[in-house]
Amino acid sequence: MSSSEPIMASSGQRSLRGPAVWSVVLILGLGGWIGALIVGDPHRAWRALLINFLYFTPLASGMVTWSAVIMAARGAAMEPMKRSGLIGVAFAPVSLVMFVALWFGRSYWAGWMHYEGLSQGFWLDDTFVFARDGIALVILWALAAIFVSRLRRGRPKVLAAWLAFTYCAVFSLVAFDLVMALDPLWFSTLFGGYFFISGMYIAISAWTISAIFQRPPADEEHRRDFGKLIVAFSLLTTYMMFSQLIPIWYGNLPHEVRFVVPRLRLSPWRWFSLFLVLTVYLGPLVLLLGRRWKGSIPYLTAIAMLVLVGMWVERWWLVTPTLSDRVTLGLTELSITAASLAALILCAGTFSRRMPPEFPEEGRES
Amino acid sequence: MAISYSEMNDIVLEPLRVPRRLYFVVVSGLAALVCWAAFCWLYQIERGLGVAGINHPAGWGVYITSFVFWVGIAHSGTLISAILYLVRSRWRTAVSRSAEAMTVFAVMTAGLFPLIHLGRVWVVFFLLPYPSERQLWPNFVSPLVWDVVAVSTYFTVSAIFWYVGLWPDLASARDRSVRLLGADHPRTKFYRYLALGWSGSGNEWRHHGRGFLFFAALATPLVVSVHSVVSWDFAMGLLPGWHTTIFAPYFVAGAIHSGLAMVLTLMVPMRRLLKLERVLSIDQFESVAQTMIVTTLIVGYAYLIEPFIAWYSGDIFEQQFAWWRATGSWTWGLIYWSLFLFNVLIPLSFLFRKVRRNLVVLFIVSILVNVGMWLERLLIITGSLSHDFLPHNWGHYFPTWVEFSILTGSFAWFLFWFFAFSRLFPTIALSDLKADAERDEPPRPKIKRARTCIQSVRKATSGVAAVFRSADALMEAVRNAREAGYERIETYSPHRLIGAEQLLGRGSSPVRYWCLIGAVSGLTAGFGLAIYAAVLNNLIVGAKPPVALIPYCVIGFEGTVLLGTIANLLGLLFHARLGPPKPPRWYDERFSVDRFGLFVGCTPERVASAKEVIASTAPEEVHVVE
Repeated sequence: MSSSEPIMASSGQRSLRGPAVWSVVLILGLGGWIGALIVGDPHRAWRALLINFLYFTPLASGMVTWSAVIMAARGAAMEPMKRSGLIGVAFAPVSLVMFVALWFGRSYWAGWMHYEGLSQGFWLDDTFVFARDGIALVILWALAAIFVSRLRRGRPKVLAAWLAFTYCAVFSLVAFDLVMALDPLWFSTLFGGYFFISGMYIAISAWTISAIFQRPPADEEHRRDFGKLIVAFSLLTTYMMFSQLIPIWYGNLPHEVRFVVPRLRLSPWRWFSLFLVLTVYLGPLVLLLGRRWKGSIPYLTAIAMLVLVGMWVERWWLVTPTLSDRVTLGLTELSITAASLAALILCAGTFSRRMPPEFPEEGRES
Repeated sequence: MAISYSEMNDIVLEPLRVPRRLYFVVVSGLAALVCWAAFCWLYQIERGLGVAGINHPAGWGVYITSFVFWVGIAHSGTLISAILYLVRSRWRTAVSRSAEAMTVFAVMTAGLFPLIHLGRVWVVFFLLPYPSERQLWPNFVSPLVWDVVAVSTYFTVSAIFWYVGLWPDLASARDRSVRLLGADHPRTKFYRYLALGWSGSGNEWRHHGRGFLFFAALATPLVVSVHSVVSWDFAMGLLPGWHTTIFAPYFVAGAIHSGLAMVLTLMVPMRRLLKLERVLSIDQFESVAQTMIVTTLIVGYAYLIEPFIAWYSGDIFEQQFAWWRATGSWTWGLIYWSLFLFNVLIPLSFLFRKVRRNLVVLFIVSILVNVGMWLERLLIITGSLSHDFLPHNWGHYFPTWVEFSILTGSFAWFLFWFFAFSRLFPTIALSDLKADAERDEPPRPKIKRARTCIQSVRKATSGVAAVFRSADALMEAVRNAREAGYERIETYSPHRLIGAEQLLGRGSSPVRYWCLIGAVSGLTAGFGLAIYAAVLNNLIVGAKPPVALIPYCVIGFEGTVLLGTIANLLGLLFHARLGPPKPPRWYDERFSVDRFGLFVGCTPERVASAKEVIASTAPEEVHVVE
């Protein structure tokens, strides 16, 4: 298709089968969350919004970034799959709205606001935090949108590399500001790196499901490649977490172990840690060991789903023990999660219908 | 212009001839430097470690810096070969062999430095981890023990990985040597024994392909683990500048960064000296440079995050140390800021295509990066030791002539081995080059695997052997032979032919079970050894429980990779029937160059009909084997 032709028409996705259903889920989820905010525990409701922002934003932007990484790395084999990743860009408005909403509830969840005389000074001034993170997110989403738009005219390889770089930089910043700073007395140089790598892990799992459900679905060879990437990123995420854990465990310094001790030593958090080891850290290595397993549609879908659920729990596990002594996992969290998921599916579905059936120069690279 | 298989053999194997006098002069010079360094080491052993500049508070200096540097150099060899093999990247082919060799020689160099640093080298066995039957307590919680386990595993796995990849090319060297020098020439014998009787049979290729995949899969996480373990030598300490969580990935990225730079340093001149221009294109160098952009960004990220978190933490020790490193004295300050220049800003010039494609610039940048990476290790290691928590404990470190001599000797030692390698072994993966050329051809229709598998030809006493010009003709002959009911069939080719394997009904190689069993045994043995030693001694060190599972993950992981690799190798040797130095008697030396072979085993009565079946596919030659 030439660039002058109208870009419209044929849907590559069938995720739009139930827009009405997803609209209902969105409304109910949002209603449930607002209800929890008004009549329930507002701390918990805002925390749930934060968790979902930290989960869905790296997921959606990561899907686009994966397409960029594949292009920048000349991964010709995965090129035909990029369309199913690009739909993540449609989540941009929702992501930004969630971020703005977090500003209004910051006194309920922004842990650093409850400390006085912090050494970080101006860095943890809440206006400055939101200003820089907001600018960073706008840049990221803008780059993602420009990347998708330029794809209609050619192969923006340089832009692809910039997008990948920006993704890492932005989510490092988000990790330091919106997760690490929840406990401003705790710090880890690796936390930013862990956060963006695990974000890419969430994104590859989501991209796998998107590629399987696109029409025509990913063929066996591509499914195997997705399986390998899930295994690779599960190992990489595990490595980053272990690399962070072991110096902290070894040093046993009070200001460092305050992150590790509740999660590894105290019940019930420790059981969630074990759950994470089994599902998202080491699970995929064992569960996707077989060559045939990686190629099977139902099996690969199930494992990708497992990782997605597990990584949601991981985001919850990163945030909640810092802000609460109790395990808070119920309707409040599920309602905003359902609303975010519905928003992602509706946005992605709408966007996919507007994508061209074929990008110029698709598959030309060898 | 496409290069024929025969030309590939000529280009890659031509450097294996007896070199010119200049080569021997250079090698002799390197050997002299190594001898001088050995003398210095002996001098140090005789006089004691006092002849080196290491002293309180900087107990680790040039030796440990060089150890970390050389382990880092060792990284990109396996990285290029293993990871790029897994992701099926084409630019791997031309550089993988030399990079793998570089890995082996760099680990050999790195391994010398802990011995040199020990002082009393005769008690080196104290380092080896084994249950404490002699009242020696291998503390598996100690990063120094992890180091021994990780580096020795890395050396073993890298050497095996390199050697297994060499088999097909050693066979090519053997066959060429037979033609040029005769079967009894020492050089021919050298290649014959090293090639383990490789004949390029379909059976060998099948197991080799699968086994090599598992080697790559095991080596890839090993690459990451080894330099992580090296980084933990420092990160487990509580010194400012050392105790930081980012060290593991930061060291790994730095190691790959310096390793890729060393690949460029070695391969740019090698391409010219060995006349490899036709198989080693500028594109491959450009790919190395592009990969270096990624490592540059990761290294730059770590350089920025470290001082940022030092400030963010509010820890006065970290803050003062970060400030001192950047501004404290002109020497350390110069080193600190030169890191940004050498390791980040200069390699970022690779963003420009013209720079990436200019070999002279690539060569210069690669040397600057290596200088920068060595200085980075020096700054990390001796900087923190020289400037810890207590001002009255602060000190200085400057290497002595002994340390400088041994450092220079280490480069000579490394280059000596690399020079020897470049004239003794094929420096480019010849069979991979041919396989790549095959992939450039229009794809053949997909062949469905035959329902029944053929039988081995090992026990065949008679049959018909044929030589074909092309893989297509060979496969046609295989198809005909199978249709005619022959069950003992084997193919021979200069690279792997998946289609022929399908026609012969061969399934997945059982090597995978060997690898899995080895890996699980290694995991169990690693944890078992560490737990056994801990229970036996039952000592509490550093407020850690006697049995500490978190650090034992390192031992368990290294055990998994080590035994997985060894079992994989054994399985590969067993199933591919490698070991006897001579290939089967119907083997033709052209099979390792550009011809494809077929052997159909049958009783003497069926030989005539077998010959007829094969002749119908227009082979180049047909022989009766009796």
